[in-house]
Amino acid sequence: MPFVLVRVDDRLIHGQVTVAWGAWLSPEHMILVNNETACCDWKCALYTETDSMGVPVSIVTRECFAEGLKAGTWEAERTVVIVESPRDLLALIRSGLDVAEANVGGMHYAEGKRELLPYVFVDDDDVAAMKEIITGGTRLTARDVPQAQPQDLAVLLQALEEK
Amino acid sequence: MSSQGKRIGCVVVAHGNVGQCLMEAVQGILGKQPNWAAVSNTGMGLNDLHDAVEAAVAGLASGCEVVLISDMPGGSCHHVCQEIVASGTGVRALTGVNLMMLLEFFVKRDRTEVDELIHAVKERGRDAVRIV
Repeated sequence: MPFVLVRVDDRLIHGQVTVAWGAWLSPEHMILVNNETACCDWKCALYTETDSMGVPVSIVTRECFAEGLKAGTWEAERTVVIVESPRDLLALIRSGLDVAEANVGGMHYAEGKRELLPYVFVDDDDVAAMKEIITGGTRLTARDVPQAQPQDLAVLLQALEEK
Repeated sequence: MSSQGKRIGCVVVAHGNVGQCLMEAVQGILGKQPNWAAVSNTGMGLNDLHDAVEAAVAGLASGCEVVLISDMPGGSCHHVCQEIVASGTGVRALTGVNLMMLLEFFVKRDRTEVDELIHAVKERGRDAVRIV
């Protein structure tokens, strides 16, 4: 697979992604798979018109991404894929994204969410989606920036259950 | 508070303590300034950051024009500022903040119309970046 990083991040494409991961991985293409953003002109412009450290950005819906997967559209380049939530990642996997390991880079606090890490908070739906991703054979590791120690979400979720 | 500095308010939205620290530097140079706020994105997702910026705007002098200044083009702070601009409230926004931009803003805000001001701030910021 051409994907050098598949990442869950509720800030979508932002500094950690463009600067830190960009420098680490030298991607040739970043794809934000987010239906809300893809359907909003100014949000698309925010990413396509600002400098993502020189890396071209595409913003597509989940459906469009799945079609691209089938057609092999994304395979030509070193590509970073960003989704907003574990639920979105699960949808991509169900539609054919084959990924051995996915990165959880930021799921920030909201009311009713429990802390796994200072940058990873989950509600029941997040937990259900993450478990299904892991059960399906994709390793989930939390790591906000490349310099951070990767943490296994399976272990963190287990610890949360035992609390 | 006097009417000085109340006409155009400013919210600096930035990573870590950058906003607060830049404003301390501004006030170290120009003296204490009214009608501004600094918001950090630390620990916040886009929704919470959006709420924090809106709360900061609501805390500015009532009825004033508002300029949001974020630090990084394409970053989460810029994202949220752009969202607020797009919501059509008449708020203006700049990104790429540096100290010279803020100095220009606070020096000129009482005697410049807001659209002219944001262009002056942008030009001052660009001109400040030099190889020396």
